[in-house]
Amino acid sequence: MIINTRDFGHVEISQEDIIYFPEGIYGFENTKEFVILKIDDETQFYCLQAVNEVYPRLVITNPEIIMPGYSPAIGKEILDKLGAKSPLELRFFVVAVIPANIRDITVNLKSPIVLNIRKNIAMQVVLDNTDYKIRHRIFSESEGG
Amino acid sequence: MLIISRKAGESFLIGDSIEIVILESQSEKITVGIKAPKDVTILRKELYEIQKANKESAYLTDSGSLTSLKNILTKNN
Repeated sequence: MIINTRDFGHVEISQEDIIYFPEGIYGFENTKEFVILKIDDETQFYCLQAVNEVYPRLVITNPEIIMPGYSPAIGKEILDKLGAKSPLELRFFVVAVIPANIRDITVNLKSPIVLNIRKNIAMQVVLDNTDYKIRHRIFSESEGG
Repeated sequence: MLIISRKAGESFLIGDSIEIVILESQSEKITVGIKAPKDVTILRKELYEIQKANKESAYLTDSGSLTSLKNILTKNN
């Protein structure tokens, strides 16, 4: 099927690419179907694009490139909601906010998007009892640029 | 900021229609009950902050910033 995207015009996707968010994403609770589109081959940033509309399109990334070893504990209740038997079926993404000054980019490590890679079901999970921040800077403020 | 001390079972009012009741207090955590009209949105603050960050991710980032992002990241690596 062909979808209309915010950044790449018309893009062909297959039915198997569609990720179902039963609860939507915070702020976009009514949008249930998204696809992950690669921005390029070099960076691990992706567009989380709504399937049926141009908006919303969020920018997400692999948290491993920002915080190696990032693997928050996911409880049974969340595993059940995602239809996952084990945390090994999960993959994490984090939402990035990219302001005009790129060096002020932040990622939300406190509430990752958790994807069941086997079933393509995902949700945004709020981690309790962590020091992870909703706006975690990638570049420190003191660095030039 | 107004600071009020309350014990479990006590409450305070915000305006005429909102009442905050302290239900339980432990060392790390307090439980409150909120009585408010249906049209008042009540949200844990972190959820509000998460919604805000998601919306900024969706609306602040245009294709130009994606290109700049790519440039800065590939330059850094």
